Amino acid sequence: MSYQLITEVNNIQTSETDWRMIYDPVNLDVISSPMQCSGYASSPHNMVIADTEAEVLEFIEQEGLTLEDIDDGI
Amino acid sequence: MILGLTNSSEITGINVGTSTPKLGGVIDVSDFTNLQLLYCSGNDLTEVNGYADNPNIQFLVIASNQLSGPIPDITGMSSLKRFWVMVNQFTGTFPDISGNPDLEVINVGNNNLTGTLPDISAIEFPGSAWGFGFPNLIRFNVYGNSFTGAIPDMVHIENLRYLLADNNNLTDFTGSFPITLERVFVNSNNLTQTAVDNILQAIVDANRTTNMANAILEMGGTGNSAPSAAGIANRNILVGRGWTVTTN
Repeated sequence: MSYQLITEVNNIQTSETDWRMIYDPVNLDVISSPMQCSGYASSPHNMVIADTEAEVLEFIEQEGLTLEDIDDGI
Repeated sequence: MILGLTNSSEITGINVGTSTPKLGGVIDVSDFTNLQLLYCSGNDLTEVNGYADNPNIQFLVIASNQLSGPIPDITGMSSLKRFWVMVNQFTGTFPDISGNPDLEVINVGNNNLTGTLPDISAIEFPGSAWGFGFPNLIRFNVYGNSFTGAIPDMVHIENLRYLLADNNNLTDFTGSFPITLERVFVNSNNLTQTAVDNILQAIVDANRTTNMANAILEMGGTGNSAPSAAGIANRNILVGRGWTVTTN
């Protein structure tokens, strides 16, 4: 598994091909689900960047993160 | 196969569940005149008929099927609270929701809808205690379509928490957001720099400063403009308050 874990997320640039995910390292909730989206991110949370979605999902499973479906429920 | 029920007017809820293989074909609930709940998500239904004129239905959950064509006229569904039709192949425009004052959740995401989004804060409900907008609306999910024009002003949507409008062709925003808003996904649109700046300003002005763990604004992705210097200053204010922010 190859990924980059960033704990100081201050204007971190990602490209259209990167897969990224942001999670709260305290309560282990995923804040932003794995997505491919370019831009500059700043966050009080941690960010994971990988080449593939599978790598990000593997990180989520390995770390026991809670992946909420924000499209689900009220 | 459900062939018919003699006391269908006494039934207030239908949940078809899921099965393997998935349930396909057509469901017609027009005989269930007192139906309040209809759940049939996650199947392969090609048509769900007979619900659009029912004033008693509160929860319509028909997501993740094979439904196509225009979304029916739902203005007669005066009790509707949850309108879940995402992940289908609906075409046409955003439905007229001027007859649905109690809406709590709208989710039309991942369909093939086009046209502009309604100015939902300006929709009038003359007989209501509030007059304009949807005071109970928590989610406005329109992601993954081909909507154009403006993201609606949310000034009269005072309990909105989720605005998921990513992956469309939206270009503009002018207006304000409520303090309750915590998840804003408008990435991968065609937002102008003015729109990007206006969104940042509106969220700063909403002044959310507590319960920040899930506060996130996604505005990156192909198509959106980068913020101006003023927008970057507002972005930094939001980050200082605990927001997660992504911009181009």
